[in-house]
Amino acid sequence: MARYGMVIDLNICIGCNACTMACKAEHASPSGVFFAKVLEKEVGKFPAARRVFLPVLCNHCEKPACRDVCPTGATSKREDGVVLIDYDLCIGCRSCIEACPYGSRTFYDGNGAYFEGHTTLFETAKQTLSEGVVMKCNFCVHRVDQGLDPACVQTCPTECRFFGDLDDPKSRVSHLVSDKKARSLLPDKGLEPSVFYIGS
Amino acid sequence: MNRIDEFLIGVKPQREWGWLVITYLFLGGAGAGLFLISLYIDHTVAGALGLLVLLLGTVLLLLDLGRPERFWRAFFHPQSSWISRGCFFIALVVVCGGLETAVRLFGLGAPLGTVAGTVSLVARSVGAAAAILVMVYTGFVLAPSPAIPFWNSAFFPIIFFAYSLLAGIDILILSSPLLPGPTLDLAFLERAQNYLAVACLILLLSHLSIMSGSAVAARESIRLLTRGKWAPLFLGGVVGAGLIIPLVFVAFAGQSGLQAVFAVTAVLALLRLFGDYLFRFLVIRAGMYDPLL
Amino acid sequence: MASPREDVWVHSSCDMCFAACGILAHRVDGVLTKIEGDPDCPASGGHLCAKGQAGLIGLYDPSRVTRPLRRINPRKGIGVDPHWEEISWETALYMLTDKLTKVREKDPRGLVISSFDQIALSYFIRPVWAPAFGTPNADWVGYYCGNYLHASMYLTNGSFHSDFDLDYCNYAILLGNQQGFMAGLNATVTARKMADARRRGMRVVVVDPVGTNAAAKADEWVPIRPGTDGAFILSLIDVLLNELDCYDRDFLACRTNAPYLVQEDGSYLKADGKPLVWNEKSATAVPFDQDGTQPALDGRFVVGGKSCRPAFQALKEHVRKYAPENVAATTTVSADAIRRIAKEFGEAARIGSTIVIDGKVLPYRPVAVNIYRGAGAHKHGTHTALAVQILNMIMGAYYVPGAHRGPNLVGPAGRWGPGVNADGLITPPSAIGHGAKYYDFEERKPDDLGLHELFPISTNRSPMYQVNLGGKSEFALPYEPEVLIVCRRNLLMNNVNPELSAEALRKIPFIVSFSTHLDEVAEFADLVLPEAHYLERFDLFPNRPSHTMSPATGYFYWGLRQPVVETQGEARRWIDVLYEVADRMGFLGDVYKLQNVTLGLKDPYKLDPEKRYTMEEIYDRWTMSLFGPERGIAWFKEHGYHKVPRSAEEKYPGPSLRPRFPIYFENMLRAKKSVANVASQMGIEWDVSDYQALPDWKPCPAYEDGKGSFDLYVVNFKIPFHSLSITTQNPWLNDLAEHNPYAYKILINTETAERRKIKDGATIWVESEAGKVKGEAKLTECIHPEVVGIAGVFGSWAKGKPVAKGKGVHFNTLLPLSKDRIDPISTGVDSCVRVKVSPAV
Ligand SMILES: Nc1nc2c(c(=O)[nH]1)N[C@H]1C(S)=C(S)[C@@H](COP(=O)(O)OP(=O)(O)OC[C@H]3O[C@@H](n4cnc5c(=O)[nH]c(N)nc54)[C@H](O)[C@@H]3O)O[C@H]1N2
Ligand SMILES: Nc1nc2c(c(=O)[nH]1)N[C@H]1C(S)=C(S)[C@@H](COP(=O)(O)OP(=O)(O)OC[C@H]3O[C@@H](n4cnc5c(=O)[nH]c(N)nc54)[C@H](O)[C@@H]3O)O[C@H]1N2
Ligand code: SF4
Ligand code: SF4
Ligand code: SF4
Ligand code: SF4
Ligand code: SF4
Ligand SMILES: [Mo]
Repeated sequence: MARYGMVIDLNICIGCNACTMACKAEHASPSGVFFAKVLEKEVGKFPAARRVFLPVLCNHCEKPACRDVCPTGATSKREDGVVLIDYDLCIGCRSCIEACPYGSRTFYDGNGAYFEGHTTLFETAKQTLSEGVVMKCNFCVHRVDQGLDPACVQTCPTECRFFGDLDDPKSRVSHLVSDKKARSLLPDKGLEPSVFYIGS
Repeated sequence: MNRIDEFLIGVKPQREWGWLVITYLFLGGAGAGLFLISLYIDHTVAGALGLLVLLLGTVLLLLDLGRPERFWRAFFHPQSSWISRGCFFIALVVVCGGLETAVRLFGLGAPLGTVAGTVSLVARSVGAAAAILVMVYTGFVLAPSPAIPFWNSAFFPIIFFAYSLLAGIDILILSSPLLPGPTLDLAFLERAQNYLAVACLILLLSHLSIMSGSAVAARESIRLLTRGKWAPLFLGGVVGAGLIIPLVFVAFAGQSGLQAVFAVTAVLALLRLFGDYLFRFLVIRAGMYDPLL
Repeated sequence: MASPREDVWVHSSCDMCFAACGILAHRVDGVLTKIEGDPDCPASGGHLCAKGQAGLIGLYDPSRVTRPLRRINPRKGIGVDPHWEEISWETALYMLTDKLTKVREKDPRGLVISSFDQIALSYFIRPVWAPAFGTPNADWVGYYCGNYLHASMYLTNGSFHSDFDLDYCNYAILLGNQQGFMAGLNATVTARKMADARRRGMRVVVVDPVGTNAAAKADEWVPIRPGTDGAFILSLIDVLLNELDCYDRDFLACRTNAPYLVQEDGSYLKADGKPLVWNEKSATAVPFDQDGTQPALDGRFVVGGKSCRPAFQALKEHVRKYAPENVAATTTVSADAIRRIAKEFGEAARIGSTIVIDGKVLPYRPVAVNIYRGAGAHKHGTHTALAVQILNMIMGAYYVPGAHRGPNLVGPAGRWGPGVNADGLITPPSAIGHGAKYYDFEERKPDDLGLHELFPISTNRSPMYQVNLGGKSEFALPYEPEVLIVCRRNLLMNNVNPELSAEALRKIPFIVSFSTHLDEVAEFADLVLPEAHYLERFDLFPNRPSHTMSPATGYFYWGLRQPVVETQGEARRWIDVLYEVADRMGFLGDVYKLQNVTLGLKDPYKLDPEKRYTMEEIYDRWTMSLFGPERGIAWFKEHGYHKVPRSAEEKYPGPSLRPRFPIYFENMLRAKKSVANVASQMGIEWDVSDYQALPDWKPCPAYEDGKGSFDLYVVNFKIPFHSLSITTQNPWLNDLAEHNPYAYKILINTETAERRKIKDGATIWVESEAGKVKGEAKLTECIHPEVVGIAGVFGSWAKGKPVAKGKGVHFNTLLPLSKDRIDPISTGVDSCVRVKVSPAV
């Protein structure tokens, strides 16, 4: 059985945020909602200081705390490890947000149009969201199921994001995970993320 | 002044649960507590009052949902979700409590053996059990959370139980002059409160001491509560006004002195309730996520 | 959901910055639903940056201009409401034609054109429409990137732009630019190649006062004091030449003018018009181009009683004063660091080594210094830029694998190539290097707003337009500007202090703006014409093979921009409109005649001046005369690109070229005389001291300004997810910028701030002699302690840009403009400005 996962090379990532915007374009996510983000921090003191970029998204955890606390079953995990939210079942209790250590989830309160008081043709054509629910990255299942890479991976100008099957020992991601001492974020939370990072 | 939604790596406060949830935690626990104690002292009207308080809290919880009209879906995952379980507990208390109260009020204390009697007995015991669960389950909602280290502690179910009972009894004390039915043994209730207050204090401090050795975010929560912006409310309100002052007062004035004037009892009860609410408020507000790197 | 009636992916090109990446646009039932990188495009290779991804939401911006508008309110000013009135295209064209006809009759030079629309400018406006109309004033781009750079490139190697070979480079110094980190031209391909190079282990040294995205990923960040790069580079040269004795002797002797003998007065020692070199074999001076010689690079000689030395010797002596100890205090870069970097650079150059590529043995010099806007944007920026090229040249790191190279010295299959002058030195290919006089100068009174003859070396003199217009000009011209046509140029936001620009604009009686939005410039227009959005229009060829297309793409390719969705409202492409106006005014025939030449149209595709063609027909003829009958515009629409892989010689033309590259600029001495003459003809005082044969570091005026509380410098930098002001009205990119910790803030070093009691997040004022701006302080370790940093081109104020309005901080407000704040050679505007920072209460 497949277990989809992603590997991101932090050495190569330049913090350009193409992933952030590709995700927005792919999902028409509402104003203020970002499934993909690039977080930053500074390390060291001037002149030996440096900015550090950390692209994040839902980790599609093997042991998703978000799903366990979900009272409705709106959050579920597919056979292939993708953690999904069914926006028709979600009651917006937000306990999943409290349960996710990675800040991967956002509650959508409903005012999501990007131009004040105007919904664009694009948004009408593409936004299928209901308000009052919680949203997050869905690993671009609609693309993945067609054999495409997720939008954020597809666009990455430095090609530092890799997507594939972690259960397939021959896959690029499996190799990167084993060869490059890949780590996940906050491993001791015990959620076993499927998104890994190499380099620093 | 960094906006909390700024794309920075660092400790981030939880912001999803606000005063609706906090007030529910308070009223839900207090209501269940009041119901429980009413069974113990066999005071039907007090029990009814407890149920009302619990229901009020539940309404607030519903209002907090993004999609209140879909609330019934919350019953679907008791196998894993404490929130789901909570729904059943609340339902049980309300149903059993309601039934039992009805029987008491209209079945006119039917002797054992009669149908009404058995119904009442069963309802009593199930209701009691459910009430206890309602008092503790919110603790289980927070406790397992790996995301928010400050909540991630086995103490919460117990602390919440103690605080719920404390609040329940305080409401009872305050409403005692107005309550029809058997007169209440305030002296007994006050004594109970003192033990509970001591228990809360001990549990609270031990929780803090454990947390101070825990993850970054937990230490930040502690800092906020003991040295940071929440310190006045926590030390002054929760610990001082809510627990220490009443205890000290009792220690000096002594029980007898108390009974003399109900007003004093009432004031102490109010102080404790105030501290109780602040406690729920701060627990939720001091919730912090660990930095991702 | 019903299955769509239409579901197609269309080849086109992004236009959110000049990189013009190839895109595939997904249209479903007439609605654009996604833009992705076009895998067929050698530049994007299928990848787009944040801006490219966000482009589509801008297409549906409700505040776009969709109808022609006429100004009712005669008063013009920043924040003054023009009171627009919608009019028909017919009325608009009538007004425009009428105005232009009057100017043309009075004096065609009274028409001024301002645009940064590279395609329109370089293929249609500058070489064709404007000359046919009769105005030389078609190039007002104001404050921009190129002033400082292009002249130095044309002079030293004849190409337009600075680039380097990321396929083989092992040690790159980025001097005030972010090449490879989602800025610069060819942003996506260089980002991809930079990533590969860093995976390979290429060392990146970023010399920048700000800890930019580039600095964040660099192996070494050198936070230099603004405006001192010249000293830094000349010091590296000094260490390499005078301490390490490390330079590419053969390259210098045979491929540059290093051996040319120069006399005490700096001029070449010549015999029968030919520069001489000292032949060590015969111990005599011989013509530079004589075979079998062994030219001396150092030493001093006496030839025919005249004492002289090789240019290289002159250079070596010239740079002695830049010993690391002497420049450390100026640059705030330690002498040790300078020595170490010079040593590392010299060793990494592997002088003498070769590499085999496509069976060809080529010199292998895997090092490069790359300069762009930041380091150049200073009063003496041309000197700095020339010093940079000298450093590349002494390493022999020129147009060989791993080294510096510019787009594009030689064209596909020799379609174009550099020229050579009498001294054997390289001149720009005719396909590239018009716009400047490099070796022979005209000494007449200038009649254009750019004052060409006063700045012979400069490739773009447009800052002078403004010096000329603003205030009382000492450069009296025989005519007055009557009409300004603006398209895609934000003279108020991207330029110097807006009040100064406004003053210049008020001098022009009639302004017509082709606009997508009622932006800051449109607010000064009398007539606004709706321009088609880039996803609604035709453009050939978005990435110009001659000027900008990076060799990193591995190809020469010709792509297109084509309409992806139907045009909103009545928007039109401005070229189309101007051609129609030319027709109404009766000079379209002349336009066609010039067009035939500039586009190199061949029979049977030549335009008949008597006939009329749609723009699409012209594009069709253009592509067919370039690539044959089967490569008409229809073919491009369907296939997107005509691609020709680059041969080794086309990637690395250095070794196969004959002309020499100058490391010594004797022509500057002649330019000096010429400029002095022109100035005296104009009857003006003019400082010609910057015309030197060898570059120096000279302080910007800002160094003297540093008195009292004006104790910091302000610096501007680009961020990967915004370009200039064009993206600021994009709501997705705005959303991102609002969440970003740096984009909309004022960066200040933590210690510097704390000494001023400024807390992170506090609102502060930044004030220069030109103006003041307010914003949120971002305390950071990633900036030079003497510098405050302001990103991008934010802080819009136009009502027509509601998303951008009031977001972020407007850097340019702080920029003064005056002739002593302009680089006397290139006319580049000095952005070295002192500021005072104070808490806003
Ligand atoms: N603060 C700051 N100032 C800078 C720079 C900087 O980095 N920071 N960079 C400098 C450099 S390098 C340069 S090259 C210059 C560039 O200077 P400009 O070329 O003036 O900069 P843009 O922001 O591209 O301005 C384009 C204008 O055209 C409008 N526009 C956008 N798209 C279209 C279109 O499709 N059609 C038409 N007709 N108009 C359109 C926009 O509203 C905007 O007002 O700026 C210089 N100034
Ligand atoms: N993402 C993005 N890409 C773009 C553009 C954009 O706006 N955004 N604009 C396009 C255009 S028009 C151009 S011209 C190119 C420009 O491309 P680049 O020149 O690579 O980009 P800039 O950020 O302008 O580079 C200027 C850098 O110089 C630094 N700097 C400022 N003053 C000094 C100094 O005195 N010395 C030194 N050493 N450094 C200094 C600044 O901090 C900044 O990091 O990018 C093009 N591509
Ligand atoms: S697109 Fe790639 S390089 Fe850019 S920020 Fe995202 S992960 Fe990093
Ligand atoms: S990252 Fe958060 S939201 Fe995503 S699966 Fe893990 S716990 Fe759930
Ligand atoms: S908010 Fe929705 S998804 Fe999250 S736990 Fe509640 S019901 Fe489940
Ligand atoms: S996988 Fe898809 S949904 Fe998830 S972050 Fe990437 S683009 Fe967004
Ligand atoms: S680099 Fe420029 S052209 Fe390429 S995608 Fe980004 S904005 Fe568009
Ligand atoms: Mo530029």
